[in-house]
Amino acid sequence: MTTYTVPDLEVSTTDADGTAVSLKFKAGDVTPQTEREAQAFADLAAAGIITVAAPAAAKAAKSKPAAAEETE
Amino acid sequence: MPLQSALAQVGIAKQSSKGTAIANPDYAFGVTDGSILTVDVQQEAEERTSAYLASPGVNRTGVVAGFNFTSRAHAGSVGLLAFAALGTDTFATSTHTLTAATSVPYLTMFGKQGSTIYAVQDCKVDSLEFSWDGNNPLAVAASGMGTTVNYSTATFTPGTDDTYATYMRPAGGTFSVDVDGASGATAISKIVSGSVSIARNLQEIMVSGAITPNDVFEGRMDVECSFDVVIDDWTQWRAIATGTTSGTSAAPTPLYGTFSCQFTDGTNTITLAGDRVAFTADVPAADPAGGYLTLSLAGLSVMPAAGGSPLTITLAGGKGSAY
Repeated sequence: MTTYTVPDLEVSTTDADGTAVSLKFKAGDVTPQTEREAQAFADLAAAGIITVAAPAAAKAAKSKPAAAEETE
Repeated sequence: MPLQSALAQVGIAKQSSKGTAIANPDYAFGVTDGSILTVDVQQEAEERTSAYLASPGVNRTGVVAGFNFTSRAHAGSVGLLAFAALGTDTFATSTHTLTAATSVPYLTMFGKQGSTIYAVQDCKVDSLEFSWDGNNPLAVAASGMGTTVNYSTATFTPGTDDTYATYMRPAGGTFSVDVDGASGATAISKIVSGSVSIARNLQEIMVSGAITPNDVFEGRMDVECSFDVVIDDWTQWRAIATGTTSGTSAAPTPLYGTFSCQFTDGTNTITLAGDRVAFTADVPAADPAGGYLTLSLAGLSVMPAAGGSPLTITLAGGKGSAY
C-alpha cells in the first residue's frame, strides 16, 4: 500500500453501518493497514491534508550531510 | 400560566453507533429561529365511502422526530454540526479539516423548553446551511431526523454551554469567488451576502410494524452556494455564458470555478471552500433608482475530478481533538 507522510493526526469518520471510527497517527511516514484506512488516507491526500511519502532512496539522498555530498 | 418561548436551548452529542443514545449534550446553545425538536405526525384521512360526506377516520402511518433550528456558529458546536453534515474530521495542529464521506455520524439531539426536556436519538443531519448578509453574524441552519424520542427521562447537562460564547462573523474574514477557477476571469472579493448549504437528502426507513423510523439513511449529497457580488464589469457573467471573459457565443459546456469564505471569531476561524463549482447567474436587474449592480451567483459544488470533497470546511479552534 501507499505510504504517506502525516503530521500528528486524528481522523473521525463513520463506518458504513453507522459506527464511529477514530484513527490516530503520530507524525511521520504511515502505511495504511486496512482498506478502510487506505481509502481514508487517499481522501486526505486528495484534499491536500497529507502527502504521499517520497521513496526511501530519495529520502536517503536528501538527508545526506552537505559535506558528504561534496566529497563524493 | 403560559409557557415561555424564549427559555429554549438545543443540545447535540455524537453517538458511537446507532441505538446508543447519549445522556447529555456535548454542546448546548440557544436558537435564533426554529424549535427545540420536530415531530412529524404523518396521518391522512381515510379514503373510504360512508353514509356521510365526512371521512370516517384517519390513518396514522408514521411519527418522525428530528430537529430544525437556526443558530450562531460557535466554534465548538459548529464544528460538530459540520462534521455531522460532511462525515469526516481530520484534526491536526489545532485545526479541523472537515470533508465529505459516504456516511455521517449518528447524533442525539436535545431540546429544552423551560424545565421540559426531550431528546431524539439516532439523528443524522439532513441539511446544514451557512448564510450571512453584510457583516451580520454567520447564521447556521440545521435540520435532520432520527428514530425515537425520549419523552420522559431526557436530561440536559451540557459538556459545553455556548450561551455566552462568542461566534463567527464576516468582519475580519476573507471572501473570494472565481467563476472560472484559474482561467481568465478575476476572482471577486466584493461579496455582500451569501449562503453555502449541504443536503444529505435523508430518507427515513419505515418498516411495517413500527410507527417510528427503523433508521435514517443518506441520499445523494448536494452542495449548493449563492453569492451576491458587486461587479465592476461583465467579465464574470460573460465567462459563465460563453466560456471565456471575451467569448462571442454561448458555451456548450459548463465552466467550473471556486469559492472560499472565511469567518472569524477572535483566533477561531471557519473557512468554507469549494474547488469545482458550476455557477449560473441571471443578468442583473436595471433599477431606475440607481445604485451599484449586484450579480447573484448560484453555484452547484460537485466532486473534484481528482477526488476529495465538494466542500471543505476548515475550522481553526473548536474542540481540541477530532470530533
